[in-house]
Parts: sequence; C-alpha cells; structure tokens
Amino acid sequence: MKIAVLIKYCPDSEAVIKVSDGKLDTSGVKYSVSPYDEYACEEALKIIEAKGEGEVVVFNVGPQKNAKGIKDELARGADRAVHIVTDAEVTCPRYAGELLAAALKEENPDLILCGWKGIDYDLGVTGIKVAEYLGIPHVMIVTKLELSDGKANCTRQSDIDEVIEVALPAVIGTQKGLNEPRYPSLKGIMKAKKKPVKTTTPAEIGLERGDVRAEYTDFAQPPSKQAGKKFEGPESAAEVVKLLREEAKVI
Amino acid sequence: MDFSLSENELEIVELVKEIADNELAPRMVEIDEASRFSWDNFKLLGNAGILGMLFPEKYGGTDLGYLAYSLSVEEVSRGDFNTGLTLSVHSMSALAILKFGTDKQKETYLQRLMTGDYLMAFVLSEPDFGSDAAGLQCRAEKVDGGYKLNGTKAWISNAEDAHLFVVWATLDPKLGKKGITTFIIEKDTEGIEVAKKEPKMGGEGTATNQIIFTDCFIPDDCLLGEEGRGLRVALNSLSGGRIGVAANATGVSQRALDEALAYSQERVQFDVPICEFQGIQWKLADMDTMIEAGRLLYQKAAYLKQYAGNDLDLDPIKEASQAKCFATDSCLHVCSEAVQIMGAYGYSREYPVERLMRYSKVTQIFEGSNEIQRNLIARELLKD
Repeated sequence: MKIAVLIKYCPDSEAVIKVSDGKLDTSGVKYSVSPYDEYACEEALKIIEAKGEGEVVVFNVGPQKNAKGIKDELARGADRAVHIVTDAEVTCPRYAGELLAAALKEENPDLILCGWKGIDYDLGVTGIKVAEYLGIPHVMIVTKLELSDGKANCTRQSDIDEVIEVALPAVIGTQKGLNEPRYPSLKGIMKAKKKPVKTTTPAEIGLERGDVRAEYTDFAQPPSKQAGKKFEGPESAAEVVKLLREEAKVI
Repeated sequence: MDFSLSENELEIVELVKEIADNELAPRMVEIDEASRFSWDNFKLLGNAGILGMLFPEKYGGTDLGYLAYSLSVEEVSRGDFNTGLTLSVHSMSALAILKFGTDKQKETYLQRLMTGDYLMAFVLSEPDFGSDAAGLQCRAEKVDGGYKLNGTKAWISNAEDAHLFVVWATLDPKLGKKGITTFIIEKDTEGIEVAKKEPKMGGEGTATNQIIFTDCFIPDDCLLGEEGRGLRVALNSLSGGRIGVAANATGVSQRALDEALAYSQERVQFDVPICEFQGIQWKLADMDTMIEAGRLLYQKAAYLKQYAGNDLDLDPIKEASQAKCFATDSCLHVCSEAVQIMGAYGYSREYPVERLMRYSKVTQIFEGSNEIQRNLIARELLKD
C-alpha cells in the first residue's frame, strides 16, 4: 500500500506574525509542520506498520526552506518525499492543489492523507482541491479512520459524529483526536538524511501558472483592544447607561 | 578547541529540548512527589534513542558521542532532574559493559538497555565504604563454576526498579585494591535482596536502597573484565559519570534560573516588576554566568572523553572532576538564589525551586563527593 501525506510548513503555533506595509513579516519566525498534517503522517505510519508492508510518501509544495519540514516527517518514519519547489510560498490553495494533484498522479497512491486545514491561513481548501483535480472523493475533519478492501470508513467530527464510507483512493483530512503523533527518534533523524527526496518545479510539471483566482492583496493587524473601563458603586449606573447608549450603542 | 555541534547533533539536541519541554517538565513535580520511578519517562528516552547515544549502532545505539550525549543529559535534567540522573547512571553502567564486557555480555544486554526495556543500577557504595577503595567489604568468593557473593551495598539509585546490576566486590579484602572485581548480575538472581529504601532530603523520584547479597551464587560469565581489575572499571565509569552529573546539575541550575527569571518579571513590588531592581538583576546575571561556566567545563570534559575513546590513558579525569565539582557547587548556589528571588513563594512547595534546591545538595555528594573531586584535581596537578 502506498500512502501519500500532504504537509504544509507553517509558522509555528506559538509564532507571532507581524504586519508591515500591508505585508506579512515572517522574519525570525519559527516554522514547523502544521499540527493537523502531523496527525496525517502519524496515521499513515500506523497503517503501514500494522500492514507490515507499503510506504509513506510525503508531498509538499513551497520554497526551499520547506525541506526542513519534509525532513522532520522523514525523521518520524516516512519513507521518501516529493517536494515541488517554488520561488515563493503558494498562497492560493487552488493552485497548490493543482500542483500537488499533478505530482500525485505520477505516484498513484492508494490513499491520500492531509491535515484538514493548515494552521496558517486556516482555509481548509487544498485537500479538497486535490481531490477535485484527481476526480476522487474526500472527507475532511476525520477523527477516526478504518480501512477495509478498497474502502475507508471515516468518522467525521461535527455536533453528531458522522460515519462516511468512501472508495479509495480518496483524500482524507485529519483532525485532532485521530491519534497522538510520535516524536522522531534520534535514529530517525540520522536516517532521514539518506531518504530520497525528489524535487521538481511547477515549470517541470507544466503548471508554471496555475488557475489562480484569488490573491491576497493586503494584510492589516486588527486594531488592538482598548483597555476596559471600570465603574464602581451604584452611583455610576447613570454614567454606564449613558455610555452603553452613546458609545457602545447597544441600547 | 571546537565545541561546535554538527547539523546532526544540533537537530538531536533540539529534539531532546522539545521532549524535555513538552513531556518531562510538566510532570517533574508529580514524579518527585510520588517518589516513584517513571517508566513512562524512561521508555520515552528509549524510544527516542536517547539511551543509546553512547553506543554503536550494532547494539541498537545511535553512537552520537559524549558531547551530544551530555548536552542531552542537561536538557533532560532541565525537564526532570530525576529522569536526567537516571539517564546518566544508566548510561554509565551500560557503558561499562560496552567497554569491558565480553561479546556475549554485550549481545545479551546492550540492546535491551538501549530500548529502555532494561534498567541498570551502579552498585558500588557500601554502608562503610565510599571514597576509599581499599575499604570495600562485599566479598566474591571463588567457588566451583563461579563466585559466591556476600555483603551489603548502600545508596544504590534505582535499585528497586533496575533489572541489571553492575557490582563491585572483592575476591579477598586482604588483597586491597587488587582484589576488587566487577560483575554483571541480574537482579532476580537468588540471594539478592533489595532492602531498605532510604528516606532522603530530595530527589525522591529516584529511589535509593540497600542491596544485600547472601550466599548469592553467580556463574563465571558474570565477571566483567578481569579479576582484580575492578577499580579500573570503576574509575573509568566514574569519570564519564561525573560528566553526566555535571550536565545533570547544569540542567537543574538552568531550570532554577528559568523559574526565577519568569517570576522576577511577573512579581510586582513598589509598582515595578522586581527584575527592574539591580539587586535582582545582579543575582540573575551571576546565576547565568555560573551556569555557563559549568556548561563549558562539562562540554570540555565531554569533548576530551569523546576524543579519548577507548584509550584509558587519555581519560580526562581532571576535567571531569572540575566539571562535576564546579557545576554541582554552582547548582546549590543557583538554586538557593532562585529560592531567594522568589521569596516565600520560592520556599513554598507550590513552586518547583525548593525541590530543585533540595535535590541540588546531593549533586555535591554523589558520584564522588566534591572534596574527593578536589583531591583528584590536586593529584593530577601534582603528578610529575
């Protein structure tokens, strides 16, 4: 069995992103693999370990620096990787999906796992786009996954747990609760260096320009919250009512 | 001298840091409070490959060398000092098998010791024998097919939980140092009793017990190294162990500083955080400087130990003692200052620094008291 894991290399969950001149300032920010993608990789490793055969192939699209994130997943136990190297970050999930789908076509995996969203832009679109471009089903926000001859039973988290059966290959978007991702081992870190990473480019794939239909044009920091006002004693009631009416405009 | 780490080593220390922060640090107090060995933590080290850092790949190790290893001991200890101490003692004991053991001994034990399935204890001290090697009393009498052990060992860390002991005994007390011999003994061997658990001032997450050998028969293949050469095994192990303890103490100091640093920025008196006061700043500055100096000393010793490899003549005895002595003396001072900065909160069991301070005292005592370390340093200085 061949399982593809799509990973995104994002600013770490604790990173503080600044905005300057309408652009994101990511200088000095620590990057790591999006936590939702770690669930995907862990699930792939567990499936292959239980089967005792097969391979886990990591896919990523993005600039050269993402090689570090790819290596982290190889250190966790993935077998090899495909890195579509771009000059800059691909912010349009439609285009990212197009590129990944093209690379996935060549590999023909039996199952595609990815985090249901990246923790950077929180869009949750790339996995769905990949499925669309490949013409295969997708289930997102999956907290339990069971495979049986050519099918996947996915438990999808919502107010009521939904169980959805899809034919494989399919794209499954993983959610917190699916598993507990392992740490890489020291041996894994050392082995990761020798694992094959195939690099390609959008030009080589023949998609130098994708079907980009939406672009980020501006970023702005939300206005910082004003300090709250304190009122004490019953004599301030009139003042509070006045402010609720005139300033907060809620009554 | 070049202490710079390879890309590989840096990544590994980074991983150990992450494990220390996320897995060990949050449970440090709980483990120490419960006075119980943490198999979870030990297995975590085994799974990550941290128990195998000093061992060749063919035995399941990662062979990363002393520098990366000692930095990892520091990081693990910063997370949880009990686990850091176990890492050091276990590695030192297993290393004795690697260095002095037969192929069969290595094949039987090393793999299990690397994975964390087997825990090892270092069984040297006795109720009336510590630093003076000639005073060793535990007797290994030569009998048909092996040895018969009789005697009592004391202050043995992790004796309760360990599976395997590296034990020092004398063939005959009259032989003095030349009678001392080392053995590898499974704990469940008949004639071994793990006795009284010592109530202690600190470090309660690492149980310390007496071990009593009563007509304990062990076959010939339990012999580690040669008869009468046990002192050599002990000294070589201990110089490595001292680097481990120096790293352990440095990790504890760093944790104490981190706690005090955070507190000093939150605690407001006279309308400002207390870190704005020069009196507090000077304390913090001195603490950090002492930690850095101790770290450099153990790194230098680790670098030399790595370079020495199997050549016992190159064993960095002086540097290991200097690192142990300085880093552990600093540890008590730094922890005490951390308690001082945090005032009543520091003294309270609600905060972890009093626990660090209580533990820090023992680092001056075990693995050779700091007085003995100074003797060793002076002896090396006076050598012609």
